Amino acid sequence: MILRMKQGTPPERVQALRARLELRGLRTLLSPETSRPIFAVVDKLPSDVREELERQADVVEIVRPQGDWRLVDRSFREAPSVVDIGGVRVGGGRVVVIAGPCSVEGRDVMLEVAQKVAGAGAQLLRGGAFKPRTSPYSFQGLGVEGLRFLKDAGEAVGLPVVSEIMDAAELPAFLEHDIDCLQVGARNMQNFTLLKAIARVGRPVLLKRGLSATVKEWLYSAEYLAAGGCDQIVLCERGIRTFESATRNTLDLTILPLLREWTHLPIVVDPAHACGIARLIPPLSRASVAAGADGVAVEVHPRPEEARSDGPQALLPGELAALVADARVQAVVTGRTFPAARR
Amino acid sequence: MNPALRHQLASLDRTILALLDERARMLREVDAVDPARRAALADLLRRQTGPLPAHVVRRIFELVDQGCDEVSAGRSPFRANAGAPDGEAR
Repeated sequence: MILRMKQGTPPERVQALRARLELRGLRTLLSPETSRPIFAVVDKLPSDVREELERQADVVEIVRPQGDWRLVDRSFREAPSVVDIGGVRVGGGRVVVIAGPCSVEGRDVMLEVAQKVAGAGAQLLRGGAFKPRTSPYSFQGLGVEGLRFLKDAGEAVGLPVVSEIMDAAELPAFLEHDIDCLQVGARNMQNFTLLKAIARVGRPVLLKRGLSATVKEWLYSAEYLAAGGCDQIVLCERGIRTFESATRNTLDLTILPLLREWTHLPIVVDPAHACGIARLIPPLSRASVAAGADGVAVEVHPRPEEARSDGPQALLPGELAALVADARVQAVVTGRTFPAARR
Repeated sequence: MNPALRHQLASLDRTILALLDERARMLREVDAVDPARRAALADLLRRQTGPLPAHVVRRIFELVDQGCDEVSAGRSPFRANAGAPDGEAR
């Protein structure tokens, strides 16, 4: 349960109420919200305690989340949360574009792509150094060297960087190379050991939806991060497995307005992994932003036919520029803003 | 006028205004004069296929350019009159 208290309730009264609940063996977690006191009761509320809380003049609302999560529930914050990725704010009425190659392939090509991404007006640079490939014989990424090429390219063009982490053992390398946002891929969405380890390091996390995960399972994974101390979480819808085989996956835009009701976390959409076909990405990006996404994540490569992974879903730099222009228009016509890149 | 139609017109007006403001913001960010602007405007007019007369479209965009130039130069009449009652800033 989440208790929302009257604005202006003195901190000592909030603390006294929490102390009374904790004396009953009920754990509480205070929201960082500043506009009014909000806290979650982790354990199941006995009926007599609930009745007592309902009689409290300071308690204006007791909210039961849609699932067994607390910290990521919409009611835990007054307004949608905003995640700061290396100075780029995601969420809270802004639309951003995250772009870059699927895999970091080398220093020169990474820099070439970074320049195109920055020139197009995207705000965040992505690139995979550790690649979770379906086949063990496919390109597995450049590893630590790839992180260095990505970060160097990001710094050269003034963009914060996002890269996927697959194993907690990789964390020191991600921190050493100052990767601004750790991406948890679809396959690792329910790797709870990894989520707990990542939560402790205090970096923003881009949490992709699992290939066959329900929205509730996805939010439970986000709650693992939040419960571990991470309050900088961005959700990323990337398509789910369905009976449809014409596209790589099925982009589930249905959940965007629903997630707005269920969670305060920002949500971006990765239409590239959803469809796997580059020419479908621009209309899917438009649809995503129109449906309320806080951003889109796409792949770009100057020569997609030479890409070492996911070439068929990589946009050409000119196509990225058109997509960014579209995203700006979509942001404005839906009453949001398209921030300038950090440079 | 049909209230639904009036509502749709008001919604279109708000969208046009939001896009014009975004255009001005974008130019203020880059703070640069585009030497190809004249050609871009000519291209825009060539693409215009709607019912608005061409000379009206041209005038609208000349005013848009003028307004954006003023914002970029930091001498926006809107900002200068920020405290004025509605309608007086224009």
